[in-house]
Amino acid sequence: MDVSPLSLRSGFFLEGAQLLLALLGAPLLAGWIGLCRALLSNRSPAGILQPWRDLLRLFRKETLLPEGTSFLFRAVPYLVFAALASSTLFIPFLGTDPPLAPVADAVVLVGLFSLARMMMAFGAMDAGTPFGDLGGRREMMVGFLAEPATLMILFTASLWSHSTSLPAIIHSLLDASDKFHPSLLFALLAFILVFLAENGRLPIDNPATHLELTMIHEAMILEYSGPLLAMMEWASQLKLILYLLIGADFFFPAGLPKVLSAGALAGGLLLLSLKLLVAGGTLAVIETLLAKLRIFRVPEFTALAYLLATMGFLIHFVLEV
Amino acid sequence: MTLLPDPLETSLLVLMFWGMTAVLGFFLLRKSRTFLSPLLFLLAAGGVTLAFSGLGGLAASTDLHRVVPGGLPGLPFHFRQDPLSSFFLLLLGGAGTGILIFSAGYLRSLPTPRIPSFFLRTALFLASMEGVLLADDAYLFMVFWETMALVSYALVVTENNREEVRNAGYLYLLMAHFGSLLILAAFFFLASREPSGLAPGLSAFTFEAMGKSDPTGGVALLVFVCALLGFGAKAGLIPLHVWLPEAHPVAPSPASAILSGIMLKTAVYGLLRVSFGLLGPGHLNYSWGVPVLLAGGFMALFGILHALLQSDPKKLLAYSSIENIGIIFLGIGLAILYIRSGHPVAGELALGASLYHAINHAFFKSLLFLGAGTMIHASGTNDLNTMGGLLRRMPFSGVLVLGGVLCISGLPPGNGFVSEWLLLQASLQAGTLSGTLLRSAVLLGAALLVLASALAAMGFVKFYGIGYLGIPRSEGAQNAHEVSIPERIGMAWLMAGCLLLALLPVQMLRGIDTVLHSLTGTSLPTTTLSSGWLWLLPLPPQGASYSPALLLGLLGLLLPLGGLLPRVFGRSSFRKTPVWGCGYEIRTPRMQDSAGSFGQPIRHFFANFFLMKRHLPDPSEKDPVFELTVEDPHWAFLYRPAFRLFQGLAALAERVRTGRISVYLVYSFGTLILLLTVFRWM
Repeated sequence: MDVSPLSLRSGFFLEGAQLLLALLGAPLLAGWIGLCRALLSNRSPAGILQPWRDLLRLFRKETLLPEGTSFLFRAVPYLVFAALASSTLFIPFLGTDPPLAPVADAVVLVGLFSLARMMMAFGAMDAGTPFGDLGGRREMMVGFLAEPATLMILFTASLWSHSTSLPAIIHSLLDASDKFHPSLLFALLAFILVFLAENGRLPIDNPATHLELTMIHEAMILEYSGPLLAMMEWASQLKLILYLLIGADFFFPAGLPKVLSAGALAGGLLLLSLKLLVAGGTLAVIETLLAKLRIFRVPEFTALAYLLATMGFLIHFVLEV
Repeated sequence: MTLLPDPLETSLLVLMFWGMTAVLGFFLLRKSRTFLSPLLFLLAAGGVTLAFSGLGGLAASTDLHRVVPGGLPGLPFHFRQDPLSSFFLLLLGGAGTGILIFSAGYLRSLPTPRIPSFFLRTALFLASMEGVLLADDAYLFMVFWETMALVSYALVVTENNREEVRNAGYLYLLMAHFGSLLILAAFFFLASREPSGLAPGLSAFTFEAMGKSDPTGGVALLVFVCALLGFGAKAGLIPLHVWLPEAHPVAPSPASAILSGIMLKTAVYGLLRVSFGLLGPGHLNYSWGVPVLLAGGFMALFGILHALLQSDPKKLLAYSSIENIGIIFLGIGLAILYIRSGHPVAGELALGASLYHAINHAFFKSLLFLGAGTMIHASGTNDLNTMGGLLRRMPFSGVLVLGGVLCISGLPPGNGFVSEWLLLQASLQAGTLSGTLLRSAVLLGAALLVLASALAAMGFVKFYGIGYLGIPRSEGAQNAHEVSIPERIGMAWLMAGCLLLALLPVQMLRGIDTVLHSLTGTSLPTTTLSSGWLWLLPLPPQGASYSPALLLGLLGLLLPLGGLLPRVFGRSSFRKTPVWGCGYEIRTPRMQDSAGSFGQPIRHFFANFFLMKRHLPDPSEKDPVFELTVEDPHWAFLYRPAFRLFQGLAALAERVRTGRISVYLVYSFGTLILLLTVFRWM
């Protein structure tokens, strides 16, 4: 493997910091989005720490296991959590070259998300209830087009580096950031759609309701309780922040520190927090403005994302080479 | 000089051993069925030997020939084990062993009168496939190929008291012979172009002579098309695939596993042998890669869409085989395109990924077919709607099937992911191609591949979620038991193969590289092969990298993290409760999804891929029944019209047959005059 510019110790430090910051920050970001949504709909917000309070309370609770489930039901939250927590090690967001990034490229990352989704669907179906099956089926239905769309977006971003390795993509995008790329614009549009679909946000899924006719994510985790539920919730908050981090890497990479010094790290982190706050605010605005789609329209929505991403990919060869 | 026989000798010994065990075993089993398990273990020992012979052949990249007396006058039997054969022998031996061990447990449920013939057919089937891989002349190849077709037909119609089984078998036989004729034609076109140095006659039909022939562009195209369609008919190339989802599921499960997991790969072998071995990469045209690539992509999508709508687990798996063969064909098309347009590195990678997927598929598809067999055995029917809750009752085999499901869905760190990842990396080199059309074709292929792979995940959530999870939907599933020890060992063997393929990709690629080198003369980049077992670097230096072992390690490290948290924060006690039923305590298995309802969104969204007949009952009907039949559109638009055409032609020809001898004499006389006229003027 090519030699990383970082020493082993600073490499460990960087990876540890990435994992810790993502784990701690994910609920905060969810809190921030909730706060913005509350303000936009004229409600008094619960505060940015509310998701953390929920998680801590859930961890202190007793776990209720539904009758008739197998051991897979109990294993799923661990697997989902591990798949998403390990992803935090591969996405560069504190520096451009986390030492573990060569373990997994962009395609592996999408595969890990897909693994988490499949596991979640298995957990849901293991309960053997109509809600679980409904949630699992709908989640897979959203996923079968959103996942290829995500991959096509990653492929578009990898066109400049000719490599799907995340640090290589970011380096090439940082070097070419002064030019305007129409293909990246298409990819960004597709990314926004995929982001909404993959994270169960409006107009695909409303994270705030338990209305059986419309729910997807909530239906899947309906039978989970206590620490298991906390892990599932935490994992989906992680997924949200991971998506935003990928988006920030690809479409707004400016300011990501290439060297690892205290000053550069602090500056990069500050800028990254600002990016995430803006993205969270934008998400709140989108969710306030849009109504939920009928479930049968969902594949059309994700198909649009897939087509946009594929078009961005092809446009690169027509217009830019 | 070693005392050990060389790989080819070992393989030939296994061939003889399997053949003899088949016949001896047949007579022994007619005496008593107690011999069954020992005999199957003997066959499995042969499989292990064969796998080692393949491994040895790959490691030393041997190319051994042997001529055995016999055969046609002037054409003795030619055998050869080159790296391509070695690779597929490894696949056959490796996957075959697991299936044979499994059979030792599974076949106990077979009624006694069927056992001897089933054993004979299975052993002969394996032996004939090995013969196909070792044959080095057209005659011997066709002999083994036809034996394989006939024996597998006999396996398909094992339960010949059911009409659907007989129909499926007939259809299979028809398609197999259609394919054989085309393969024979491909050999004929190659051999008729013999170089002037060799004596004409039958010796032109050895593969060596064919490999030296120098066909013109048109003939080369003809050979390629014949081989593609001929071997495609065996591999399930659309539209020649209709027999596959009928014939594979009706055979007993171990036979289905061999059919889908191994026999389909002999067709891949044949296509590679004819196109890259006999025709030679120099005679291929880059533009032929495009239709192969797009056909592969379409097969992948079509196969998995139909798989999603099946409620018979084995039929679901059979359609998924079409998807996987599509992925393999996509890689072959990509390889032809890249290699012949001057991008050998990407081309080798595509071909290597294709071979990798072939061996991956052999292991996980065999595992899943065996799993489907245990599911059907447990519930008593071949309908997913009667299953459910099997994981609790069959935890050991259930976990193995779960592993197979994750591997076939192309998820990291499974083995299916490795080959699909390599194929994507090859596709992403499209930027180096010249011409927007070529690039678009390659990228379209990549887009189809990722779509098919995401749909596969949904399909196997259905397979596993409805079959193994939830609560039992029938009495049989309720009383299901864990499978016998040999069955578990057989499935675990296949799972171990998947794991090795998943975690040691570089080792596997080194073996595959000898195949690539012998076929095309070029190799994968040396850094890829020498980068240590941990790192997979297909396109050095700036290309992407992947380390399945480290990924698995990290997942393992983070797995307990979630479990620590409740201990840190508070409680970790458990209590059993009823599920949430909106306040009601009624819970019946029918409240769960059926196999049909799980596939409903797909049917809705991809309606163009299916031919659906729906009957919505009228509100006033006394006994309202909702009916829906989904069919492969190829039946309605291609096969039934073709059948009608043939029946019409046959009816026309029938008019000639009057039954009066005077008329027949006139026919003979007319024919004679006609022939004489023709020969006079020629």
